[in-house]
Amino acid sequence: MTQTVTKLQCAALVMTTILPTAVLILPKTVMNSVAQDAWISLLVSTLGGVVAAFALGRFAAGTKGGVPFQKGLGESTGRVLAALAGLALAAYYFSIASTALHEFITFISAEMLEYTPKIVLKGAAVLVLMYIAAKGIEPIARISVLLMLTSFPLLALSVLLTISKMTWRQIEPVGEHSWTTIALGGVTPLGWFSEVAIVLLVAPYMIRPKEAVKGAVWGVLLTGTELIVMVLQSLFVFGPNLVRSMEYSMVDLVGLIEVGNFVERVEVFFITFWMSTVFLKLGIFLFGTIHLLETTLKLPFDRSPLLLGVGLLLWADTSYNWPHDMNQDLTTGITTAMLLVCNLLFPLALAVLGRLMRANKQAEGGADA
Amino acid sequence: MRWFGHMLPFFRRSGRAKRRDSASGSRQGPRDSEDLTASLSRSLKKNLSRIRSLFGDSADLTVRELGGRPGDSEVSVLYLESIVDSDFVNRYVMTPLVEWTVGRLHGDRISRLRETLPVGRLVEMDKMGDLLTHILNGYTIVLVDGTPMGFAASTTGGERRSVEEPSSQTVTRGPKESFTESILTNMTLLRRRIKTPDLRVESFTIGRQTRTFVNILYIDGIVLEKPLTEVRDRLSRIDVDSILDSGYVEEYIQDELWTPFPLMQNSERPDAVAAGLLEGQIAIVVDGSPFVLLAPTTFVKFFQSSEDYYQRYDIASFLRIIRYISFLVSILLPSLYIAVTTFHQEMLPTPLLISLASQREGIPFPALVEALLMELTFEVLREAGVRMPRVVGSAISIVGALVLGQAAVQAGLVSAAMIIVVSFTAIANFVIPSTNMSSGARLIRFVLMLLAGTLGLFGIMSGLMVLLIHLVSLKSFGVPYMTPLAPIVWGNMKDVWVRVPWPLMKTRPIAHFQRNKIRQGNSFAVPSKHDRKKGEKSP
Amino acid sequence: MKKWGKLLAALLLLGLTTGCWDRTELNELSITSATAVDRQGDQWIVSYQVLIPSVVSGALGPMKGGAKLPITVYSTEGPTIREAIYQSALESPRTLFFSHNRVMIVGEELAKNGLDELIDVYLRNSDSRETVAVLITKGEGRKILEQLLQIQIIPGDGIRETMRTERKNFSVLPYVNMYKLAMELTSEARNAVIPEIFISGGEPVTSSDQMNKTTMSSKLKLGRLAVLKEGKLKGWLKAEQSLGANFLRDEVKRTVLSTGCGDEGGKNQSAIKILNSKTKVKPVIRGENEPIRMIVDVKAEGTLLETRCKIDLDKPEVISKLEKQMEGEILAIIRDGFKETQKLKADIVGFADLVHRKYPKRWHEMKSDWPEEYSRIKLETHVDFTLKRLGLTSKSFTKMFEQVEDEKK
Repeated sequence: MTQTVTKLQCAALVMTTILPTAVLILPKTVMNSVAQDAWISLLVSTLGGVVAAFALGRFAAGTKGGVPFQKGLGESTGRVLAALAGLALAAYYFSIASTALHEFITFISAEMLEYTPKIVLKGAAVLVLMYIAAKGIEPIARISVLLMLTSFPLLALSVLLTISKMTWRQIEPVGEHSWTTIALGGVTPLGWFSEVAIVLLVAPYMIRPKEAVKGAVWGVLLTGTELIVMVLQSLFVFGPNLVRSMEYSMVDLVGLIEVGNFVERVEVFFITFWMSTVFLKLGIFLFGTIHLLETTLKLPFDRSPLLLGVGLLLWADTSYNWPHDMNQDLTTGITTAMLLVCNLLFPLALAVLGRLMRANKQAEGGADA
Repeated sequence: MRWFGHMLPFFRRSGRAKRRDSASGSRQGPRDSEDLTASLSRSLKKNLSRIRSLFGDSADLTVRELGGRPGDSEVSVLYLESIVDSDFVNRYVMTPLVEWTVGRLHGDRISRLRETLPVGRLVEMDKMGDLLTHILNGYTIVLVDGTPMGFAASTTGGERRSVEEPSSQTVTRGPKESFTESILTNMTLLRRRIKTPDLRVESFTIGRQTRTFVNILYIDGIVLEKPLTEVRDRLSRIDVDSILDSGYVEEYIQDELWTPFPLMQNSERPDAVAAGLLEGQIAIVVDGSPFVLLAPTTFVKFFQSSEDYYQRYDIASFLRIIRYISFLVSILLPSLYIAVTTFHQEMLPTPLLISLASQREGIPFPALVEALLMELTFEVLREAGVRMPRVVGSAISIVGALVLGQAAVQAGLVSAAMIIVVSFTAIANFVIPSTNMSSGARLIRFVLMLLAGTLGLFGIMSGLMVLLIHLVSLKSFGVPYMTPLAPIVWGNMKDVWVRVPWPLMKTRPIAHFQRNKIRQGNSFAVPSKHDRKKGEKSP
Repeated sequence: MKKWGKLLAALLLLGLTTGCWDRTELNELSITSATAVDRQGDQWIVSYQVLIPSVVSGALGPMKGGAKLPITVYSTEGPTIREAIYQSALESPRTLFFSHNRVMIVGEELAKNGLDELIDVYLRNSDSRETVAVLITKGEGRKILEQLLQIQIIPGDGIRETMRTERKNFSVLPYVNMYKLAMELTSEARNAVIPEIFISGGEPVTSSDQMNKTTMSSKLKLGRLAVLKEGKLKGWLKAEQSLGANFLRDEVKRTVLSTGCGDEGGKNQSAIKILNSKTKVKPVIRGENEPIRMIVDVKAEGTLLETRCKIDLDKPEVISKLEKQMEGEILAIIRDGFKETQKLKADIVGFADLVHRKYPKRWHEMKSDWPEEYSRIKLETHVDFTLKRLGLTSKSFTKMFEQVEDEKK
């Protein structure tokens, strides 16, 4: 296990974990409940996300560098519990990977490749993901930084190109909805922000694991900023009512861009860029699954057969586990609840438990001495 | 040619270099039956007969016996006629020896003999293996009866190509010398450029049969220790019977075998190698090859031509950006064309769509097949152009351009747009300064075309993603291949997308994390306004 | 890792050789440049203007087009729009391709029935683009598609370019595309507008024989503005009224108005080009039952294009008089246009959103009753017009002519 991940890369990893799926369905989801006040909801949930990032970052920073998360957990809470936690988290990462992959391919199918069987698309995607996961966190982190650095100018460009179509006053009346409605509207995004829990896996790979806190917080802040910009952008262009009925409003937004008679219908380019971020996100989750299984099960052989097995399972699961190809999977209350539990409550419970046990041990040690 | 012989001791003993003559180990001996670690015998007769049997009475093995009847002489001289400078042997080995034997000097023969031979490089040895190595490298061996020792006098000679203009890496401005097949010449070209005792040379002999000299060069104080040890280790691990070109060495010691990207640079330009050395790279010079390897290297280095540094920085920067674009074009253009025209027609501007659609009326093949066909045709033409004698080369261009291009379009076999795409791709491929990078691009292009033909942009993106992950996970002797882009090293950006003017490049690129970072003092700083004013006042 | 590379490559190749589901070659597409949707009884009739690439590109390029026509038009019928489109498979050898569709013509009959379904089709499917321009026509939409244009080879493109030029230089009709239509229909007022297109003149030009003349017997022309309420056609605004509505919508970029000479000598004496116009609207609600007041501020700048007034434009007071008259002109246009929309009880100027934004609570009370509220709105319009330039001469030629006459005397 080499430690090469820097603070910047950590923040970029957090961004690639949260952004890709959020971008796709965010405006619709949030505006459904709070219309033009969506940005306030997002602001609130970003703040919530920062708090979560801080807490999880602190927990992650407690790791000794170079010791995998699950192993470190074993040292603080005992082997059995750590094994259970490792398996549970692996299962969680796997299910997220499966859901997001399904979501991703559904989108690709709807926007680009209508007649290609989904199972083929999913197969191709799983192959790519397996390759990404096989190469480990280091390449993912490096590319994340590149994509992050490209995403800012791209976003700025899209804002610039749609600025003539914006009606600023769509944002009014500000705060029409009550604070409770706004806060509730922020719950779903908070679920996405909670995916910052990925720092737990990343921190042991960092050159200075203590910087995981800063990385996580910056990652969430930057993600939140980009999301707010995007929500405002689609709000200004389409107005709250139209956005609610648009499945992928960001794509429609980019589809409006026209520069002269030459540059138009460029959304495929944006989709292509976005696709690369999704590949990375899914790669992170598949890597997380593999990594946790590996450290928990302490397999005697190398990573390849495990990777192959999990990859095939992912392919099968994502191909046969979904009755409909609709995009409700990531926005239901159940998914959000699962995100919050698995990403926030579960790790924090582990952290508290670990601390208590350590305190106990120390107390015992003290008694012995 | 004579002075090359004198050069040899200089670079052999320079610095703190250790000799790693792995050929002296039995592992790489020509015959397993013969124990080459065996010491020389006291008896000259025995020694001679052993050598004779080792060479199987090779016709060019010359044995001259002095001071006695043949078979019972006091001293004998051995060399391979084909690779020594015989004039030199006669004048500086034979003449003194004859005088010496005639004079019948007594006492410590060996030390007298050493003083007698007016040869710069004189090696004493007592092992049969050493003897063999030296004689095979053009040394003349002097054996004296009654001593288990011998001398090897450097008399290397033979016919060699002279230094010419580089043929594959040409520049319009800059040095016009290129390496030759002779390692000695090549060393000369490098030594002349970097006149510091810090330039260290370490020598290896690799190849059971070919016993090729492989020298590694680096500048002590700039080079980083880790890649250096890596290079040494990997070189000494090579166990093969022949090394005929630096290409052999490259494939044996590169970090990752399964990659279309070159993990080492090669250059036939001494100035480029010198520049590499000064940036902390290690040069690997292989005898018999005019291409010198440079390692560790990074992706961006393959887009830097040595001319970038001799021309003005503005045009150099512009050209460099052109090269990156050309690389992308060379990889992506045909696949993008396929993806856009068969999957995402909405992306085309209407007039272009209509014009492309009208060209495609009546074309029998799908765009993918059409593109593959034309790309393969081009590769065939290109290969033919390389293999063909130069005299008939112009025929290729006529056949290629006129017959295949124009006629194919007129016959309605391929669309004109496809010809444009394929030829632009091909030309863009030639823009990449290093051939091994451009050949990598050629291969990737075909894979991406297939992906584009099946899955459109999704396929291309999947392929690019794998490619990107592959690129960032590559390493060249421990240095991440994509430095300074991923991981990002801001300090190195001055020589990546653009080349900033020399006075502003104060430090070496720290990709290789050299110890000695500063490239230049402040005296060459860009004159600030303040300075200029001062200059005006005091003439 | 090495094994992995091989395995991946093998699997990729396996996937590659199995087939290409979404692939459509360029010569398997029929590119539509314009479509028309009509309603006949309970059937949808969709008409397509399909390009013939070889003719079009021949005409675009240096080669001569010959007598062939660049387009072909045909219609299909079905109980739903999409089914009607798929019915085309029975008669067309190629797949219809809508991404380059520039214009959508809506028949009057359909507009009366409502456009909801049409908009749904556009929002739901990724192959039909929301940027398509929408136009309405009296009678059948198909007639418009059949009309050939002379300068622009592709009629669909030609119509869109006409709309763009009109919006840029004349601003009487707004440029409406699908997403804007959807946006307006989902805004608080739920009203929208669509410009009209019609064939002016006699016999429609549908064959190349008719094309081979310098004057064509008929032309495509933009006309009035259709007003839609809740997606259904409710009435029409004349060009001038439409301009007034456009002032209120703040969509006037450049336009030309005729006005008098300041005080003396009647109307239609000089032409002024409006260059920049900015409209600000502020709703004011006083009492419970009092009508809403809308305070409209129009700031416009312009250039004098022509005049036959005998006035001396060197004098500032003359210019300010001219400006005053121009302000009155704009005011009248706005008032007329607004009155017409009030008569139709159709808020096409977006006042509903303004009220919603400023008085969110009051809005929810009056939301259901908005058409009535709207028809009672009192407009308080202030126009501020500045004549920025006079052109290259400061005196009208009529005036100069008179001066010369005077001097002669």
